[in-house]
Amino acid sequence: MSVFSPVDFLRQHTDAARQALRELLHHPLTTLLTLLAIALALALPGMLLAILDNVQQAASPWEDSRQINVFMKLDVTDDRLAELANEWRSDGEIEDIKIISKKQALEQFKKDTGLADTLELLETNPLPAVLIITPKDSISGPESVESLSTRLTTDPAVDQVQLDQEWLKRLQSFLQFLNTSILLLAFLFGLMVTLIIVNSLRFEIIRRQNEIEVIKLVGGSNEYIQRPFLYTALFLGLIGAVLAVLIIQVSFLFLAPYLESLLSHYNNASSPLHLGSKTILTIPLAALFLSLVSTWLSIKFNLRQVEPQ
Amino acid sequence: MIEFIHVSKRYPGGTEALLGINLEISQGEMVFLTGHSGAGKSTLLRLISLIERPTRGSITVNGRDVSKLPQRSIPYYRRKLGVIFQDHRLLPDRSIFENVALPLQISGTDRRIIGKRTRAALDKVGLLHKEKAMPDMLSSGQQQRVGIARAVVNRPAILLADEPTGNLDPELSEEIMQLFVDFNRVGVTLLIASHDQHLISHFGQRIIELESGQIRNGNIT
Repeated sequence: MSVFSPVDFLRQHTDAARQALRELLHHPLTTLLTLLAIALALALPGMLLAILDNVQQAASPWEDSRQINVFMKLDVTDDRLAELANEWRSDGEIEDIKIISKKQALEQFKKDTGLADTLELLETNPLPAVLIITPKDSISGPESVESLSTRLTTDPAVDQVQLDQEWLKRLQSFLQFLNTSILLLAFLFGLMVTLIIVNSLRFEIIRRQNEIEVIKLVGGSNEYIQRPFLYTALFLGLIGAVLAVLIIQVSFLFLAPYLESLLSHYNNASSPLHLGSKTILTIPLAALFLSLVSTWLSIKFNLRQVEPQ
Repeated sequence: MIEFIHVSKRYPGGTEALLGINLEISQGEMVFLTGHSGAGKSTLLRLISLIERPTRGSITVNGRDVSKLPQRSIPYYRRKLGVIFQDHRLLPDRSIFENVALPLQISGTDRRIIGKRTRAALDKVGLLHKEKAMPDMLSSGQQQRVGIARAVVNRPAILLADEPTGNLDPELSEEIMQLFVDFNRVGVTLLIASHDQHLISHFGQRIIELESGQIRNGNIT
């Protein structure tokens, strides 16, 4: 019927967007409440994702840790310790060895815990000497590090060998579990946002039923009728997303001191609690997607049913 | 221009609104459709504007069988018709200008052309000075004229009117009918449903009388 023209296309869309905006502003209180409901439903999973993101970042310095902590038997002397360290340094699989003598271990413990006075009461030093071993890069993969540690265990002076990787694995699987739980939660909240928008559009369709019928009677195509509803959904979704980001930012201002003090116990001078660009991008993109899904549902189940009588 | 061949319309529930209608309206004709309420006048018009589909038979408009027109082609088909309703169906929250401009806006007409054609249509029905008013500020006779302006703004070849004077006093009704006569003079084909026998007999045009869904007399002049 008519040839496609970009100018017409643009005008039809700006008209529809303007109409959608006008309708939203026509009921400011309803619009505000809908926006807040959407913002909260987006903010909650968004905030959890952002916190998880922060924890993962805080944990990342340890991620490559391949260190092996070798705890010595208590009766191993400092001389024997140095001897052993020298012996192992020539081992083909060991890059570096750091020695922590019994005395050093005690000093460090006093410093970390503030239990200096209590420890004075002890007659003997209860802490073992430790050799912190960094394997050569040439041996890679958890198995080879493990086989090295097994070999070190066989030395009679060694009491116990601990791999950093073991508790890292535990941390990773815990974070993985959290991540999956939060994603599931995000999915449920996404459904909630969809329902809020669909309900809002349904209300709008009922309110404008007469207008839609008249437009159909004078030759309005389905696209023409659907367009303003698409923009209503987009505005609700995207403004809701902006509000959600603001809600998270403000909440983080309150939370930041707590996380910082938590991290300081782990000797981790990580950057303060922040909303990563990942979250800042994810929330509007999710909102965009949910808006489109909502429009599609509304058109299919509400708008198509309106026919002139 | 408009041709009905053995057209029947049965509503769910079994009511036969139209029964085996055969009808031909030529280009440039002005035809009145009369009969008691429930005789099938509105149904006949609704079949032409494809608000409803016939149960049986075929309807040809402009040489095209529209009874089987696919749903998504209906908007483009309706843009070539002008439809006028008894309750005029104006949008209460839009100005007179916006109401009349609606069909042009829908079809994506250039803004300057919209302005020109909308004012021309309003001028034709004598309401150019009311373009900024809202519908509820106008009398019912004026509102109906706005409805007519909206129906003709697309310059359709066919105008359908369902009881256009149903809510008006005799004097205003006469005015409205006179407008239709003017449109007919410039070549528009008109089909007007009205139960007001007295009014329509003035115009010396073809009258089709419906009774219980059938044509009782199609050639009273």
